[in-house]
Amino acid sequence: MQDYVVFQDVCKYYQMGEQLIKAADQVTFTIDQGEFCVMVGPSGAGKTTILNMLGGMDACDSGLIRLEDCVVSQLTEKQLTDYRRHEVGFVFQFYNLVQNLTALENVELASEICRNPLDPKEVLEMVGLADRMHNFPAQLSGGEQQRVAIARALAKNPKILLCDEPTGALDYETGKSVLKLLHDSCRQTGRTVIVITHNQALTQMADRVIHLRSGRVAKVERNANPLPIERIEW
Amino acid sequence: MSRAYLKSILRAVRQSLARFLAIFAIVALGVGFLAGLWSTTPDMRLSLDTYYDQQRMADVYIKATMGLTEEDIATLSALPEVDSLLPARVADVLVDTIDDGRLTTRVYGLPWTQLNGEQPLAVNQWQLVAGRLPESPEECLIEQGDAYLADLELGAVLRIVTDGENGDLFATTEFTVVGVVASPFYFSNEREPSNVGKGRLEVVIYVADSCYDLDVYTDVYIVSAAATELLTFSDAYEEHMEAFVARLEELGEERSNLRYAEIYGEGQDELDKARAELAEAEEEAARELADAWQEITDARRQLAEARIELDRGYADLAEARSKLAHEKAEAEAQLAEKEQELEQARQELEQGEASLAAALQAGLIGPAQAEVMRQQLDQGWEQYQIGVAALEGAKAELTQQMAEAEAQLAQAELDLERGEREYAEGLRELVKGEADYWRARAEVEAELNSARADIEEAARELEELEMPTWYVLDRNANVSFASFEINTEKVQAIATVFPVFFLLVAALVSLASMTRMIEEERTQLGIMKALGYSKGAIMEKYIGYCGLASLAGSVVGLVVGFRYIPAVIWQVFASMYKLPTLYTPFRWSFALVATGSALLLTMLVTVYACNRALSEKPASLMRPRPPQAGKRILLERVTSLWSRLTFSQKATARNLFRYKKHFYMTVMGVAGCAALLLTGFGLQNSIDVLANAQFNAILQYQLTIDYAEDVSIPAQLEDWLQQQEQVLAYTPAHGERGTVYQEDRKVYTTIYVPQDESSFAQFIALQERASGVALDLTASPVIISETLARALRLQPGHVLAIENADEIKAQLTVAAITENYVGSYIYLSATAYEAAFGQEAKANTVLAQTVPLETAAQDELLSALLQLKDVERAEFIDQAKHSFDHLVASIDFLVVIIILAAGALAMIVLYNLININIEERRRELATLRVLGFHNEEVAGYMFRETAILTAIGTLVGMPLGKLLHAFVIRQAESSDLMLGQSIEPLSYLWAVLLTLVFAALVCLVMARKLRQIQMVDSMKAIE
Repeated sequence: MQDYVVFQDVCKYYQMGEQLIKAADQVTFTIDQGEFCVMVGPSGAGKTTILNMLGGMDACDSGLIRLEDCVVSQLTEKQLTDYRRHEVGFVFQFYNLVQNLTALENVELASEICRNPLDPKEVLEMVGLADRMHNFPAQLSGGEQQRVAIARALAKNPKILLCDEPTGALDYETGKSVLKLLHDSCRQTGRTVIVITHNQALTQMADRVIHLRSGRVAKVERNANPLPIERIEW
Repeated sequence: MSRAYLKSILRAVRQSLARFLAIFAIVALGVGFLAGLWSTTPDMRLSLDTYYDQQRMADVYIKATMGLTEEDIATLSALPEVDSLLPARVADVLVDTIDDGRLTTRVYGLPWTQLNGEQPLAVNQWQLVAGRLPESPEECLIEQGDAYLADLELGAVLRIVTDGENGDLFATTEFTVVGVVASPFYFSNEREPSNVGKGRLEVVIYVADSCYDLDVYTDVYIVSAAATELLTFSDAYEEHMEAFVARLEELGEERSNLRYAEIYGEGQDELDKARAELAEAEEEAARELADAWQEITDARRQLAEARIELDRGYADLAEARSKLAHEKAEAEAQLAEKEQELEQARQELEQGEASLAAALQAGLIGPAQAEVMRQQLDQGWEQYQIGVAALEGAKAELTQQMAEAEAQLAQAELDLERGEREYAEGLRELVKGEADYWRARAEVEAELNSARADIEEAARELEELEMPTWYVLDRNANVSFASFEINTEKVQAIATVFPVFFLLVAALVSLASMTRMIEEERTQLGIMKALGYSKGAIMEKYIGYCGLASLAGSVVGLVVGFRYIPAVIWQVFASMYKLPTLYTPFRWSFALVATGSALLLTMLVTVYACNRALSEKPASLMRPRPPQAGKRILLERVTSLWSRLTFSQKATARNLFRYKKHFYMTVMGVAGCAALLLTGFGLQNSIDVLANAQFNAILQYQLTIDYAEDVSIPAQLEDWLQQQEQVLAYTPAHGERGTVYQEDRKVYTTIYVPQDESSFAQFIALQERASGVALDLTASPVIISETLARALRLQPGHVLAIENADEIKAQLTVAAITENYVGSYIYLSATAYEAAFGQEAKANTVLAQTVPLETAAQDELLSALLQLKDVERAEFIDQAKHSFDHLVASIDFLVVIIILAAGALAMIVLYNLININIEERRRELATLRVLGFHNEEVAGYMFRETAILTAIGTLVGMPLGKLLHAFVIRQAESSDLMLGQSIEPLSYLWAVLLTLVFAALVCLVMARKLRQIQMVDSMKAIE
């Protein structure tokens, strides 16, 4: 299946005082279904902007964004909300769990509002938190919290999983295990996963690597034989 | 304070204007209310005091039982404590008017030069409202009319009822109203009691004191020298006046002794004079009586003598008669003898004749012899003839003599008869004279006795002469003053509750806001701490920020509160008083305390919030603050219920208990708002009940007619009542003023004794309020109004001490309490009245029901009524009702104010709360949006909490409002006024609805802010 995700000449500008910042400048790329894609680039390269636009959190100024047969760049705000609700799963750098809900409830928070949710308990078991599902976020470690966040994203049974620096706030080992979880879920469920990182080492595990620099796509690599995460060191 | 410091604060203000404004607004509201309500009573009192000072209101007045002499006045004015004084003659009388019937009137007799304005009034200066000052002693001024004082027009003629109470005190009895004045002595609409007429003053007039037929003054009004400096309600004034009153009372005793001696001396002199006069009269009477008796005795003697003479007359007459008869018989006997002799002589002559003739015939004798014989015979005949003639003469003489004597006797008899008549006359006269004498004697003695009794009475009275007393009365005895004092006290009582509440909410709002602000700038705090700034230096900014907001809020609150809150309440008071100008000075002490406490509170919470943050290590401060941990709540134990809740309901449930500060603040704010609203609407209910229940349900008559006391209705009035088609029904009753005593309290009330106990309920509904059970005077002969019962805390079975209009004291056992809101009443059965006061309750009032009438038709009816004989007064209860319309209007005004205040409170609190909530959960909300939650769902998630808190607050507010309402009502009540005690269900509904509307309005505003949350915020690191 070709061209699951399509960015075609997508531009996004911000006006900062007198200066026009080109957060995304003629960005063009495609991603196939079921791919584990890593977007790398230094700070300010436009990684998050692109992710936001793909996730329906931000609109582009021009160009085309498409997910499968849905033209994201043409959706109204209300349609964008539904798009986020049903098609996209997000994993944030800082987990963004609702502090006042238990792990299970945080997962339910997402599963309750979408069409074909997975069973929250099963998803939590899958991410290895069967014992901790009744704990509040504050009672969980960072890695565990990120696992809850991933479970929350997966439970929606989304077409695509968008992860913004998912290991940014985690230590090395925990980060690795979280990445493994993401990779596994991609491989096991065939779900397209896009991970943003500034860590070049992670490119080794990706099916497709998109290099960004100053709002432009510098290079797109296909990795025929990605390395398992356990073998990557940084 | 460096420029940089100031700049940083101002920058902070610009950056978080909403927060700054929230603190500013709640502090402005709190301080404004606090300062405004606090200063209301002082302002009102200051205004009255200023008015009093301007008008030279008397500090003290003296009423002397035996009057005040010129000497008394001179002594008083010589006192150094006395600034000025005004002697006056004052009495309450009944006055007839042309249009308004018979009115109970207080007549002030004032010095002429002060009445006509040549000199200013020394005391109690009035303001001329209309007309002019009097120019002749037949003209008078009248006190401005109000709800109770009759509103007479210029030109009205007042005629004092001279045979009424005090009516004999006057030299001039007819006055024409030429001017209307407003005196500081009568500025309240509350009725002044009076001891004449129906017991309530209806008119106050001012006339020249020469209109009184009195040598002395009855009253003297005094302005004290030092008291002008003091505020009339202050303790210092009170103390000063206490001393002054004591001094005057002392003087009063002294002067009263003199006055006693004077009156006693005068009495003694008069008594002595009377005694001397009596003695003289006694003497004269005795003399006159003796003379009279002498005359009678004389007359009696004369009569006796006359009797004797008369009797003697009768005897003489009888004697004369018998003598005459005797003489007649004798004379007749002599005559008869003579006749016999003559007869003999004739016979002898005839024999001689015959012998001669025979001799001649026989010729025995010659002619010569015959001649001689003839001659002899002729001689004899001659002799005989002479004898017969003499006899006849004697006979005639006798007859004549007899007739004469008879005539004399008849005359004598006549004389005797006349004498007899005269005697009888004399006798009659004597009898009459004697009767007259005795009567006169009795009369004189009676007169003398009565004179003696009078003297004895006078002597006894003189011995019993009461010591004259000076009643020294201060301003508390003035109804207007006392009423104003009590009512301003009520305001003060209410004023202390509200603002404290507002200040507490202000503190809570500041606490929440400042905590949030410090949270937001946590990292900055950490950096500054790490850089080595001291705690104090770091705190400075926040204290400055909060202080600035509080200070600015305070200034605005003070300026608005000081000026407008007293003005609003003054406006409410205007329905009860003719008010002078209101002064609203800026009260520095209140300003300092209010601002100080607001500043202190807000700064304390700021310091508290800062301290909590700054007690952390700089390193931990610079790390994002671990989000407040979720906690399990009790509700989760109820698994069946809990598992049914959606995640957002669960979150809401947990959030409610997670942020206790928010919880309390919102609940308090909303509860306050709801309570205020309920109080406002409840007040409206209470007043409506008063107006409706009192004037429609309880008093079911429309017209009262007073007439001269009698057992039955005057015939003319009865005819009129029966003929008038507009009059539907009527019932006569006895009505009079009563005074109930309880400890040192004295409460005026009206006693009603219906003549027809069974139909009375048709005119005045007697019923228990709570149960609605109708009361019956036959079953419960003593029913008192609830107003009275509440004021004196009386229950059925309690005994009350009462004095009726004739000053007869009695004890009554309360049998039942009847619903009543305006005025204080005691309803008695005729037997109960008679048993208590020992006199019959004579009807003097008619209560009548009429068809609904326009004012003009009412006036027409009234003037027709007043023209009837014996009708003294007639009044439609609409007139009383109208005065309550003012009260209702001012309460409505107050309700609007309360609603505005409540709204402001609710808005500020809710806005602030939601604002903080949103700020705190910005990431959470952004996350939700990223997760694909619709705007409504996000708003619902957010506002569900607010809604529940609002609901809880509203619920808490209901009992709170009920309490507040009860408190306010209780404060406003008096023995003459009870407000409706219950709050209508509709008011609860309105209070709840309006609270919800206020909350919804805030949510609506905040929903916009919610939509503006950027989803990218979810990506941001926790700062």
